[in-house]
Amino acid sequence: MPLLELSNLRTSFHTRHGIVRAVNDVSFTLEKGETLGIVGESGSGKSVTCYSLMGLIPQPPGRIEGGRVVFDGVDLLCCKPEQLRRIRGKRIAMIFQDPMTSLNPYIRIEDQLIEPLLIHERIEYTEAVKRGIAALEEVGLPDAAKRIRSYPHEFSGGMRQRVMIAMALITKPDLLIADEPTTAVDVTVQAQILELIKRAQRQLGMAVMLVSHDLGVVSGFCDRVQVMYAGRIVESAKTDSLFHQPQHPYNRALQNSIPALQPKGTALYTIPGMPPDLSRPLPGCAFAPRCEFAADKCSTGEIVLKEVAPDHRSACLRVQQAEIKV
Amino acid sequence: MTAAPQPATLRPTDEIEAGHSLWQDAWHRLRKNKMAVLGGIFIILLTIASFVTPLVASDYYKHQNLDLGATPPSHAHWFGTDQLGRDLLARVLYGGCISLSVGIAATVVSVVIGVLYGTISGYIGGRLDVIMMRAVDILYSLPFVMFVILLMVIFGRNIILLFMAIGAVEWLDMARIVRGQVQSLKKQEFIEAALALGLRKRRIILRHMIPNVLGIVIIYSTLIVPSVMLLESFLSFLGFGVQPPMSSWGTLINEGAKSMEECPWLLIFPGLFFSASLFSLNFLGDGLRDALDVRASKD
Amino acid sequence: MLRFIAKRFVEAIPVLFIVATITFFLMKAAPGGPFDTEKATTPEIKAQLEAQYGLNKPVFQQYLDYMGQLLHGDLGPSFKYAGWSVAELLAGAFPVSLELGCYALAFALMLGLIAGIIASLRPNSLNDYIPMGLATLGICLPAFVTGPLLILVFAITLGWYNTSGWDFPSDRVLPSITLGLYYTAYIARLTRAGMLEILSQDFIRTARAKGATEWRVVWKHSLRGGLLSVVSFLGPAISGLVTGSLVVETIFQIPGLGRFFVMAGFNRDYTMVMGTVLFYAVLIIVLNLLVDIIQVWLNPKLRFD
Repeated sequence: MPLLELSNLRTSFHTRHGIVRAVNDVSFTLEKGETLGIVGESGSGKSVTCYSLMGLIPQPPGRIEGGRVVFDGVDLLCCKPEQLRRIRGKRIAMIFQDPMTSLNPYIRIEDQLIEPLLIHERIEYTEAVKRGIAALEEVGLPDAAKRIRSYPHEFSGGMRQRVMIAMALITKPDLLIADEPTTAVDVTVQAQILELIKRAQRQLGMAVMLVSHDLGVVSGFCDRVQVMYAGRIVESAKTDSLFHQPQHPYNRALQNSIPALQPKGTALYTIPGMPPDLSRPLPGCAFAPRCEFAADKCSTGEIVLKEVAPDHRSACLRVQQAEIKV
Repeated sequence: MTAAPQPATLRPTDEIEAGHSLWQDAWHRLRKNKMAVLGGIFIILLTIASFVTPLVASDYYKHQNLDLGATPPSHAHWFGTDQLGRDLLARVLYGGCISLSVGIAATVVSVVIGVLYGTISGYIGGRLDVIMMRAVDILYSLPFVMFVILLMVIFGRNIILLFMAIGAVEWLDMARIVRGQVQSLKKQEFIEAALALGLRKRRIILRHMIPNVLGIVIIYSTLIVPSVMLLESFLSFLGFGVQPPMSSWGTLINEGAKSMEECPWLLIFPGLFFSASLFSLNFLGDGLRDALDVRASKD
Repeated sequence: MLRFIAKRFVEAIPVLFIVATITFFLMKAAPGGPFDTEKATTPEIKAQLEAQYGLNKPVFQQYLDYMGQLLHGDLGPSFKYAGWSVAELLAGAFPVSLELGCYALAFALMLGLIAGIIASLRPNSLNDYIPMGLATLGICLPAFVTGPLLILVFAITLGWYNTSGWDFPSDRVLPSITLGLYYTAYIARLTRAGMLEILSQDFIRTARAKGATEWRVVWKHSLRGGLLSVVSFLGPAISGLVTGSLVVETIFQIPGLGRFFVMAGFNRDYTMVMGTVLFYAVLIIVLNLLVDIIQVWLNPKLRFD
């Protein structure tokens, strides 16, 4: 049994501009100890997917329209709130994008850091503080015993992200969801943060879901990667295979847009057009209007994720029917 | 936050919004705000009634009928009469005339002071700005109303002094808001252009700054009117404001409160009119602010 | 922290000095003297009275005398109540006003905070609309309308309370509500806005992701930040309560400072009026300082600046 299984998850936001279908029919599984990358542009639904399974979608305006999220035999979408709460922060932990705003500015690091322990374990306060200090040392914060008494605004962004990681790992979770953990920190700190997560993963044997818009980050980190576009998964494969044999035009286009991978001196590649308006119904393939391979059927046909190569699935109709090679 | 989708950015660029001026936009938004519209209608009707009544029946409000005495509302006197047999409806409308007049006059005084103070402070900036704003902070924390009472006690209860005193109290908010606006304007390019052209500072303030802060001044003025009226009625209620035979809503409420055991209508009708006016003015002001607020103009 | 307090005290001195100077000269500029009103006084008695209170000296000498007295905490004798000093009158009346103010503030904080928090937890539901509608009503109704109305309903019609006075514990109820109503409404609105702002912050999401209960999210993570605006409102609120007490004490005939001040105004008891103004200025400055200290204590970011 996989650790986590999402099937047909659909989440939408009911806004003044209409119903925005942020996550549309997303299914995937995650094994124990596995590292899964989710990539896509902003607004492609990757973060919303994570928040949906954690039950962190603000409702209203958000609404989970359907689907199942089974974690270790428990459906997180329809279990009792109390049961979800006991899993959240204990067995599934999360790191957020912006360490500057994700820590409570009014509370000492200490109290925030050991909060998961106080919530989920029967533990003495002093004992919890000891574990907090150990956790800070683990993430490489010098002088942890003293600095644990600080407030968040006394820390730099990189340090705060370390605190966030220590806080997420303090309960030894089975699954860590990292939502763009490196986006808001300096480039020099990025590698350190990723290394920290990697090391903790080895030690704890936990599964990691890494959400990022940065293909470089994902490629070096994950066992398996899936690409999202307009609320759907369009391609899913082993990392090597995804990067070396792309099976969806969008994945190919994304990789072409990485400046570092292009020969110097050539014009930078950009994907023409704009991501679609998710508040309108999107028949066919959402990428079709921007796709160089698009055919008539692309804008009408039903889109499903199908295996097109061993352990490699794509949602491109034309790839599935072997009409094109991207 | 990446969780919430941003439909505005996802919208294709082919939809270009039709050009509306800021004022048209604001008018449209204001009309959608039902409470503000209702408030506006009430205030307009009340203003007309209050100012027309003294014109057509100039003496009626003080027309005494001692034989009649205090009567509850009836066909002849919709709001009843007071102890001297005066028609309460006429008195309430006449009181409205006084209250509204004081409200508007004192607002003008406070707006003039506030705009000048704020413009100077914001425009000149530097140390002067720090001192002037610190002074405002300190004034905020003083029991200002007591000074007004002190003034009224010492110099007699005279209505012109009342305008001035109330105006002198209520300018603080305006000064702060105008200063903020001027400061942000100052950084904008057309002011720099004017400076580069060698215009004098006085001219820049008069020709460029003041017209540009006008919008915000108008909005906040509508919010000052109710607080000024409140202060006037407060003073009148205590007996330091409008003096008999003139009567504002404050004095009517005061008289009503004294005799509410026997004739509660003397309290209820002036109180009702006063509260409804404050209500309407506040809703209208809030509506105007929301409608014209530059920060919210593109949601 | 001590430096901060010391700085505020130093700042307060010139403010009080200016307040004292202005009030003194305003009083001197007044047409007529305090003893003109008593028609029976002969010129001889008047001169004698003026000599007794030092009013025959040059104005500037009077000013120096007065300021000198002030430095010793002496507010001078009351012109109206012979044999009483202003300080004695203040000391007698202030505890009553203080009690009234405390009840009103406690009432406003308790009801306002609860209503605001409830409204913020379910925005745009009935839990939000009903308390906020009432709050809007409360903000527009001045104390001199609500006070008499409350008396009309609860004292005259229902007979639950006395219409006026300050003798029994039950006499505290209606005046405190009258005085506190506006602040209840305002605090409820501020609390709602502050809590909504905080509840939409990223760190609240972090707290939820940690598995915190809704109670913990509100109590431990939101309240501190959400109430900052309420605390900074307490400064103006205190000035407002002082002013409001003038009306409320007049309506309910409570022998507090506000009523003394109003009476002194009618009686042209200048030293009493001035003493009260000065006393209120000191009171408000001290209470504002207290509010600032609470604010700094609540917000760690301010603590280090």
